[in-house]
Amino acid sequence: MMDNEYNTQLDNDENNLLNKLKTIWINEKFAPNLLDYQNEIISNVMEKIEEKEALCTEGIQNKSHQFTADIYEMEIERLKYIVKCYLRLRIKKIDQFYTSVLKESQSNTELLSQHELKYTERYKSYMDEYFKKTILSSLHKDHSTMSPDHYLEPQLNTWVFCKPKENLGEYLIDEDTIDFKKTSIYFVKYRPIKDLVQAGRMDLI
Amino acid sequence: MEENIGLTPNQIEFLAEDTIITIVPNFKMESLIFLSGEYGPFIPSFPVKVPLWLAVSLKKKKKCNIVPPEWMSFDYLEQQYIQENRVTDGFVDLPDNFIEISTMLLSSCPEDINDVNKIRSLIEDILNRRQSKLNNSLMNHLQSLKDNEPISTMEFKNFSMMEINRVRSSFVSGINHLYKIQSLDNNDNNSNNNNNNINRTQSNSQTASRSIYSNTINFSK
Amino acid sequence: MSYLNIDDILAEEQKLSCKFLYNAYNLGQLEEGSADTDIEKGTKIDLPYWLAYVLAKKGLVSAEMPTPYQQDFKDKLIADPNVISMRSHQYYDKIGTMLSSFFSDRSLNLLLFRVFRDRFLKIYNQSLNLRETDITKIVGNMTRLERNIFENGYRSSIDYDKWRNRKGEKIERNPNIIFPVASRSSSVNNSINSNNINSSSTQSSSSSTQSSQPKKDTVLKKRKRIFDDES
Repeated sequence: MMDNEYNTQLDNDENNLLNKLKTIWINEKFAPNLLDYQNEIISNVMEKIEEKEALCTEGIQNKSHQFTADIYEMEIERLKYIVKCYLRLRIKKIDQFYTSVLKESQSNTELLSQHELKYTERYKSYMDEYFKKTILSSLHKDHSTMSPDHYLEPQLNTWVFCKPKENLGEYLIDEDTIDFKKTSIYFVKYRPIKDLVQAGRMDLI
Repeated sequence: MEENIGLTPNQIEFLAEDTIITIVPNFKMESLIFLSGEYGPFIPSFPVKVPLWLAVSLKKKKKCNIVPPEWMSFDYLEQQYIQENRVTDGFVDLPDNFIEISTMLLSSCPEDINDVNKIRSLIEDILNRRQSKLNNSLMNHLQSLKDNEPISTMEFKNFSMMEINRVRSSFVSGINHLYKIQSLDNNDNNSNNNNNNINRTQSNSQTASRSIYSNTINFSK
Repeated sequence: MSYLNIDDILAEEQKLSCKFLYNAYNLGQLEEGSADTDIEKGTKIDLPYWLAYVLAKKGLVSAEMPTPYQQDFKDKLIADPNVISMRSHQYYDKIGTMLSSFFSDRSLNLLLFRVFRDRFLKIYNQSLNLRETDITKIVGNMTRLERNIFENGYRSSIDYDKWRNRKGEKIERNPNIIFPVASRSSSVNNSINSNNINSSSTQSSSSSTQSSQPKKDTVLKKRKRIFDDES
């Protein structure tokens, strides 16, 4: 009865920008690999933040609007917090998996933002340089390069909790047929649902 | 190894703070336009809906009273508690962000809540009951794992991110190691273990769905 | 296995008794207390897993399963997985999976699965429910991996309780301190010092890991040449 009211409230909210922003943060948080950069959502949110910041500066000049400006300030801080968490999580993953990220970004231009791409390239060149100077240059030439298995790769076989956005129907996971329903939460291996998460049909929680 | 797999409880609380709640303001202000929608206008003594974070902040400044959601009532919660006890292998459907919202309200506006002490202990009981049920079902799942069968997917209903988060990091790292033991073994036996991309099954697939859903219950009120 | 993971590197220090199937020239230093420059065919020497693995794959040595993975210990372990202290087997589970695949020992794999499942059950439960108990002793009997899992669960559970009791607003000291530094370093020393081959290999493993790993590759390469010349 009463929680229906709350549920419909949330359903209506599902597509608003704030919820989209929260979703991409949480998905990025629980996905072991780097997900595609959500340029549209982030740039929309940043645009709104800038608009509101401009409004707040105006508000401060007018004493009677101070209270309202303070409230908008709080909303801005909340939005910035999520954006920062999202971007920092991504940088953390890029630092860890920079080689595989760069490789994937060649075939998938959505993976990184322009800034991130530059960052990743620079990071790689610093790391290469570092390994060369500290170790590799003093080794026999047969061992003076890093081989691919010396780099960290994301653990796609980790287990995650997830929630389908819609009824997805039956999928075969290992030997089990799983009927992914919107109303349930699943504890499942990440690899088989990776594409569903990337496609926005499944959320990690 | 895997450190800090989950979110902190404060972060989950932060996520829940966008839930809409009713307040009764004691000030006048025009509508606010947030990313999540429009709230207001604010007129003294007229109830208005706002995000929880704003409600709590206004409350701190003594600018409003908070109207607790209907489910923060003794009768409703007692019903939930009874049902939570009645159902042994599943969870009762609680309102979204139940733990976060009730915890926040109990600490920020106890004077706005009727029967506040009774409600506080009732919620404690509900959460403890759920916690031990979740624990038992995860432990049963672990106990049922066989060395020669793939670790099966688990399906749950009606439990929340906060509840997941408490058990997440230890449970996930343990399951990951069990999986690792298995997959090394399977690799030796030339099993097609690495080839486990998802396959859409035909709707008439005869793959018998094994009864792994022991933790599933669709509890209807 | 990850190349730069310190626990993986330490786990691979597990010694295996290896019998040399050929004469190995200029490798006398591998034999503890031996003045010979060469190793004779048939000599038995304890080698760390990472070295034994490569030599055995090339058919240059035959390796034996280490004692903690032989029947006696396995019987004790499976009888009651939760009773045995892993204090002196800090990487039992980690190196165990490598050994079972190295020796294609399926029964070891099954044992590891069952033992870990049962120990994990207990550890998981303890990590969520133990409060205000001295956990150092409990933690001391776990492997590194188990301790990690315990630490994860313990921390999230404490975080949750603190949040429920609204203590989150205050800044508190780092919860990591609950795990004493001393017990960590002693476990590391255990695995390095037990059964040293000789001083040079100890040095390489106790010096910074960054350099020890590539070093071991060069050493391998040289050794490989020696065998190549011979065969």
